[in-house]
Amino acid sequence: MKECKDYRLWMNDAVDDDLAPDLRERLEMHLDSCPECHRHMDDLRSLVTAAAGLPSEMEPSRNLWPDIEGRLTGQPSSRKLVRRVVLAVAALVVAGFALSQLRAPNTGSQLQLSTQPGIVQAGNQTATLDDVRLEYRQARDELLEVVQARSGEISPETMQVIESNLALIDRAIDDIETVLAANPGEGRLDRHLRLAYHRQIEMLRWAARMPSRT
Amino acid sequence: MVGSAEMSEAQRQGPAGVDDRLLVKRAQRGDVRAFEALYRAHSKRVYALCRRLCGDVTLAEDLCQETFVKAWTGLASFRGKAAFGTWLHRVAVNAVLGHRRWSESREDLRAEDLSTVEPFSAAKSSGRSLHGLDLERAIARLPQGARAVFVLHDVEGYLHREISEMTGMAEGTSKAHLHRARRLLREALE
Repeated sequence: MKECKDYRLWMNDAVDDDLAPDLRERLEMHLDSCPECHRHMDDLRSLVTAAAGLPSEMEPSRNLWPDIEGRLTGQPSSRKLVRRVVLAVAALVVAGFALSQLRAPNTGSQLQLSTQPGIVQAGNQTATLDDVRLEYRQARDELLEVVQARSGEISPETMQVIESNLALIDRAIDDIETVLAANPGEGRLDRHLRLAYHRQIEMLRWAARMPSRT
Repeated sequence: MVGSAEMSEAQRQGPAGVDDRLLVKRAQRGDVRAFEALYRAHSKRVYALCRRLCGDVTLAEDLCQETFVKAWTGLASFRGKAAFGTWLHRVAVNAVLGHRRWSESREDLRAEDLSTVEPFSAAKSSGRSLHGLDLERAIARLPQGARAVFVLHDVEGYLHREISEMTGMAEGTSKAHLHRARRLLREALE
C-alpha cells in the first residue's frame, strides 16, 4: 500500500506530463480520496502555472547599450568616462587655484569680446544646453585668440600651466559630450558639462587678463 | 519560453517584430547599429533571464552586458538553424554559469545530496494566492542550483536534457533540483 509521500514523488512528473498513464491513473484515484494530497497537487499546479506566466521581460535599471558598444568598439565605458570626467573637473579646480597663485590678473582691464559669455559664466541652469554650448564655443574661440596673441607677454611656465589645463578640460568636455549623447537628459552629466564650460571660460578670461611679465 | 522549440516564422522575428535574420546578417558584417537593434529587441528578455538566474540586480546587468559582448564576438558561429533569440539565451545561460561567482559555488549545481534545506520564513507571504512579486522574491532566495533549474525549466521552458547539456549536470540531478525548488517555493509561499 502506497503512502501519501510516495504519491507526492509522482506529482512532479504528473505536472510535467512525464508520468506513465497507468501511474497517472493510480495517482488520480488517490487524489480523489485524499484531500491533503489533492491540495498539494493543486498548489504544485498553481506554482508551475505561475512560473510559466511570469513576465518574460524586465527593464534594467540603466541603459546598458553605451557600455556594450564601448566594449565592442574599444571605447571606455560610460561609468569609466563619468569617473574620468569627475576627476578631470576636480583636477581643473585644483589647477585653476594653482594658476591664481602665480600672478593676479589685471582686474581693471576690460576684454573686448564680440560676445560676452553671460549664461556660461553665470553657471546658468535654466538656459538650454544648446544655447550655453553655442555661447561657450564663440567665447572660447575669441578668448583663445586673445591668449594666443598675448603668449609672448606671458611667461613660458604660466603658458604651460594654461595649456595643460585647457587640454584637461577639453578632454573632460569631450567625455561628457560623448556620454550625454548616449544618455540624453541625464541631469548630472548636464550639470558637469555646464560646469566644465564655465571653468574653461573662467580660465581663458583669467589668462587673457594676465599682466605682462615685464 | 524559449527552450526546446523548433524555429517558427514568429521566432525568426525578435520580440519587437523586427526580422532578426536581416539584422544578424548585417551585424555579422560588422554593422554595430544592426547589433544595437538586436540588443533593443532582446535585451529585456536576456536581462530577465540573467536576473532570475543570478538573483542579483547589479550582477544581472553586468551579465546581460557580458552576454551581448559574447554574442557579438561569437556571431560568426551563429548559422541561423535556431532562432537568434534562442541562440542568445544559450549565450546568456553560459555567461551566467561561467561567471566566477557561479563557478566558486558550482558544487551546488552538481551535488547529489539535496538534503540541506534553507529556511524561507522571511519570504513567507500571507494568504495562498501566488503573486508574481512574491514568487520572484522566493525564486531569488532559492539555493543556486535549485534556482537555476527552476528558472530554466519552469520559467523558460527548457527540458531536463537541454539543462543537462548547458550545465553539465546529470538529467536526474536536474530533476532532483527542480523538485527541491518546487518544494521550497511551495513552503515559502504557503
